[in-house]
Amino acid sequence: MNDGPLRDGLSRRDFLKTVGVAAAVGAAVAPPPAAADPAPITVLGPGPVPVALEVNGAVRNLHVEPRTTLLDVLRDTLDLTGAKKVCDHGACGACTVLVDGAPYVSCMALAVDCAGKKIRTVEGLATGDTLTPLQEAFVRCDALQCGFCTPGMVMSGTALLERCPKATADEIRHGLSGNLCRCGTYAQILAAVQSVAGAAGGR
Amino acid sequence: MRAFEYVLAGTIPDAARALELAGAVVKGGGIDLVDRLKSRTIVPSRLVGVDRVAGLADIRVEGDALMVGAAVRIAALAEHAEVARRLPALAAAARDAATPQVRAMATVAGNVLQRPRCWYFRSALEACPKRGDAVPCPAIPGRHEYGAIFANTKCAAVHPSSLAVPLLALGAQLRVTGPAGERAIPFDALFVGPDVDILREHSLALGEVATAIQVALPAGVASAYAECRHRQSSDWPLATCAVAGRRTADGALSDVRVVLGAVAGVPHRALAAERELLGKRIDPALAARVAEAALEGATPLPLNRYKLAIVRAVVAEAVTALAPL
Amino acid sequence: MARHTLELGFAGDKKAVDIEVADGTPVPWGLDTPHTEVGERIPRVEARDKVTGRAKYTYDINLPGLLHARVLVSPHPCARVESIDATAALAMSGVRAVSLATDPDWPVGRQIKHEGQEVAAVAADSIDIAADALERIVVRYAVEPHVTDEVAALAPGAPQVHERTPGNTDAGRGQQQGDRDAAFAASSKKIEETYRTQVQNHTALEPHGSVAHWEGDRLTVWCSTQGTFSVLDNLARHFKIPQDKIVVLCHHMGGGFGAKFGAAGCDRLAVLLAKRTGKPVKLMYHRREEHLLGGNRPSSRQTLGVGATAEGEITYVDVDTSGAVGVAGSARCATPIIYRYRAANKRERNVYLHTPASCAFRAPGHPQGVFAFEMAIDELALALGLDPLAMRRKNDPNPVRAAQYALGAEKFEWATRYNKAPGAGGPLVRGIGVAATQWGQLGGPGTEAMVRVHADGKVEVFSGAQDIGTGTRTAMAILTAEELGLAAHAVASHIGDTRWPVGTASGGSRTLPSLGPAVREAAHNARAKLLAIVGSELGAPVSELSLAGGHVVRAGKRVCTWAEACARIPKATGRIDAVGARQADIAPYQRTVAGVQFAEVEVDLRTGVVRCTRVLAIQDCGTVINRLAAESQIAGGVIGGLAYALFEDRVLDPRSGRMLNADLEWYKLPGMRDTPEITAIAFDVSNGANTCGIAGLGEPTTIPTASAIGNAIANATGVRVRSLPFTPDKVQAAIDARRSR
Repeated sequence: MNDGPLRDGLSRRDFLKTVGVAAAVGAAVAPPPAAADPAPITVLGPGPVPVALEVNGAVRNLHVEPRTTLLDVLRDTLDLTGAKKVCDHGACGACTVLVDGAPYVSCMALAVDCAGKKIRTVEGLATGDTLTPLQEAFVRCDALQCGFCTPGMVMSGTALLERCPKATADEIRHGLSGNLCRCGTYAQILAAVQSVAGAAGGR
Repeated sequence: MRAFEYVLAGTIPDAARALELAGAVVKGGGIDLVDRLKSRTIVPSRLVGVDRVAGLADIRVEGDALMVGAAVRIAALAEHAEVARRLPALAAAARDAATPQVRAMATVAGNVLQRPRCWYFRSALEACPKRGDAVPCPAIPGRHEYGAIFANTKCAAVHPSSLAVPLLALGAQLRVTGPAGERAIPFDALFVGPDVDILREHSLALGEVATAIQVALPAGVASAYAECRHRQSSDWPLATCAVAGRRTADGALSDVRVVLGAVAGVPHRALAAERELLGKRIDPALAARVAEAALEGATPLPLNRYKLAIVRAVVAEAVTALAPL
Repeated sequence: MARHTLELGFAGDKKAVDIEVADGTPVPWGLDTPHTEVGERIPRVEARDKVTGRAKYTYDINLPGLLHARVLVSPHPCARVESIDATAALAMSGVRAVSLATDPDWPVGRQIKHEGQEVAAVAADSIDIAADALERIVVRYAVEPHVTDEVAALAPGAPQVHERTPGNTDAGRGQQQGDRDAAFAASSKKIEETYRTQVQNHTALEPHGSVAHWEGDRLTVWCSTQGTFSVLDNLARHFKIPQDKIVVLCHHMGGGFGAKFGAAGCDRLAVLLAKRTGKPVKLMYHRREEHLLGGNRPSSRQTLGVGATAEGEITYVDVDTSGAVGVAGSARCATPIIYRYRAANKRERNVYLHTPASCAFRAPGHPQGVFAFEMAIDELALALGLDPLAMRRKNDPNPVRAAQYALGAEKFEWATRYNKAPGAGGPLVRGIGVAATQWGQLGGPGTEAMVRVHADGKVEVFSGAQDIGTGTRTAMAILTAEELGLAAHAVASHIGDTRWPVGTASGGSRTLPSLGPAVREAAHNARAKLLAIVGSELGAPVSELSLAGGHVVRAGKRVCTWAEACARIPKATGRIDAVGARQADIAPYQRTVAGVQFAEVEVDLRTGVVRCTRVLAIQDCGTVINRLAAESQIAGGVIGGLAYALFEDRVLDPRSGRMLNADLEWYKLPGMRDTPEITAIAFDVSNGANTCGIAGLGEPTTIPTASAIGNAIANATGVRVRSLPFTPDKVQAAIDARRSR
């Protein structure tokens, strides 16, 4: 919220090194407390630190750098490649996963920030071969073409329907407005989500 | 992102101490910060996460004031019944900001204190005076169609915050804690335009952390918000307007404020529009006059003259929404 | 050989053609052929994999020891690389290899003629380390003057992009038909207007990229491509690898739109870095690189002159176009003159800039050409005081479009809504518009397929080609099932593996018209083999047996089930493999497919913001194989056209020449709140071009949308905006210009 003016990040960082402010490396290590400190501050990183992530109900104990995004951990470490990297910028929604029930663009979330939270990915929706009603609706309504945006769309739709099971068409448009599709499947996606919301009594 | 060290602060004093390291920055939801980390236009030594500070994500009514914790998510603000009932301008701005995912992640304080979305400022390839490069603003001779139409001689970036516009109209204050203790900064004194200091957009001191946004809830407070977008899904508005005041018996507003967003480097108070609106019974003709007055002092650039008409439209819409039934 | 009468066309225009059918080959389907699976609404066979995240795209391939690679690209539009120092990058922990533009084996171009040209690549243990390494590579550039603006490029003294194109343009091409002077003289109304279209980037969600994996001298490449076989050929030639040592895989791919035909720079670099490190390497372009290197549609500046007699008969069409292609490409504007006319005169030329090369993009040349032409026809109609739809109906000789105009007029309530669409009130006004189009690609020979029937009754169909997103697997299953008398979901489709039968690249809407008949022939051959086995056991002539409803049928009676038939396949082999090929075209009903679109818009007269509220798209797609997927394709084409009409635009800084919106924040694609109510009608026409009567439809559906929207804006506001995209500034300016008149 306040990073102050930063004229040259690199030289600032080099400056830090020259005055000997130790950056903790490796696992979570506390720097020596300053004289006035009532209690030490725990400094993580910049190297890999231990992080326990609860993904689709299973706790995964990992070592990740503080800078590593949730998306990269899911895809590159856990091989949960349903969430896609498209814009890497929080603008397209292809990497959407649920964090404590809220739809997150996982490319903009740091994995370390997600410790202790419940992460759900598209791989965690179906029970065995039984798809969720929304997944079934996507299949039935042909709400996908190339399919690259589909996991993000399914997750945004899931988040919406969990909060608002009888979502109206306008609410669905609003709730899925953070997901882009290049093949142009929006009309079918709207129909798919509507069919589930309608079955729940929505209009 | 270059590597950085990370402190997950448990309390605000811890966060303040962790921020004493030169080059340390606060991280809330991270939507603005992570983007700049990725473009490597910011390379901090340390991030100080405040997300786990107890109580920082609470919304409470305290007496005749609404206290919105700094780490309240935009989505939570948008869905809060009391906010929707008493501060419709704020609720409306929150409801349509960005995307559902960003609203779920981004904090209200981060939204208010975020840095501009200007494509020159955000690109490590472009030299930009706002990042400290000794060059004139490249957007002014370059591409500024989404840029400022007020106070744009040094920098054409617009302030991107949707929430800041109604908050300024509502006379909100930002509560901060820093090395010098706690203080409340009125939104009137919060924003810093490029003519004052091109390197920043707000007046928080180094090491200060936002803790809450306080909005007074005086009797009869009325507010409305309007925005215009090119694309209806997840687009930055071309212009926004929040109008707030207190209803008087004759269908007029007292203590009126008219604030424009996406038109200047800071949320822009349209003082001439406020004078035009103050104390007069609202009808479509008055709304049109207020809209015209809102443009006083505008200095559009060649590619953003079209924003004038958009400002007229959003001001008229917000004012009209406050007309007596 | 047997003679056969093939009934073609549609209910409104039937045409019987006598053909010869070679023995053993499938009888072509005609208008009267009954089907059980073909034309039904069948969910995609791979949909479950896509909604569960199980579908693995190239970007999703993780292999043991996989390295992650990034490319470093030039920030300058025109420069020479003087030196590259990668010492610091190579010294970093986790950096495994670099490839530099100064290396002798650098597999990409060395001359920098546009921003984004690759100059180095790094393979590292993680994507973050690769990005860190890019920062440590020091490239010394000799920066040279550039030109990235079309007007500036044509001015005297402008920097020259290529020596072979002095003045940054080519000689141009011209074409003339008919007696233009006489046609001009016969015109009682003439208009001449200039129309502009922007550069549009392909912006596939999955970027270009590959995972390359060497095992000894064998190379496996997962590639996000619309041409598995062309990638194989490109890589084999470039790296001088025997073709039998390469396998290219593409099981799923996240969009291509014309920009993913061969091996791109990233694909070659992945192969090179994998060779150098001895480990599998994944190299996918990052979004900025994808914008710069992932292809674009050229801009256009088109001056059209059109004339008509007082009765509204079109007399002449003059087209003079130029377009910025970047460093390479073709700015040819396809202006299919679908109406009767007496004379036409076309001139076109390319303008070269220091911007990335343009390439084929969903209906190359057509969205831009048809935008201008269908706007001009609308303007001509209005100048004559004619209803624009009536003008089209009067001049258009195509019987399919005639039926489509009639259907659309009724469904869109043209007569009651044109000029009088009720607005939402106040400053919001509504209007409707129409535009028509054609597309001329029906696929061709060169594609094969294989159908495998197992003794346990399982059926598989194979093609080495890929699915660009149109539903190829499902169509293959439907066609196989139709021929074998089974249900589509009983057939497993396998695609995207160059070890399987050769298939076309997915371009020109030719995938299914090429592949479909090959699949049908393979299934037909499998059917013949199976029936021969059954027939010999039953002592029945094969000619008396057929397959229907999961049974072998003789004289209308079920002889045995499918499973019982398959169980008779000799145990020594346990299966039947049958191949089929796409044969030469037979007797096309028409060489083109026809389409008409209607759009409704709402325009805010104060702000100039345009919203498209409804679209009706009626598209001839030959014999519809899967109605569900066909409608999706049509609606998707409409969204693509809407994006082109309202939002997309590449923004370059006028001084640096760099792209400012190389992201998905300011490079605007429409989202769900921008999506109109779309009615997609797959208009069945039996075209007889191939044994299945299939015509592709990926491209035609995106062509007329922008002009339908532009015509609707004119109807709503009374002003004509002749430049894409229809952004608020342009719409406002047009409205203001009328007010000030």
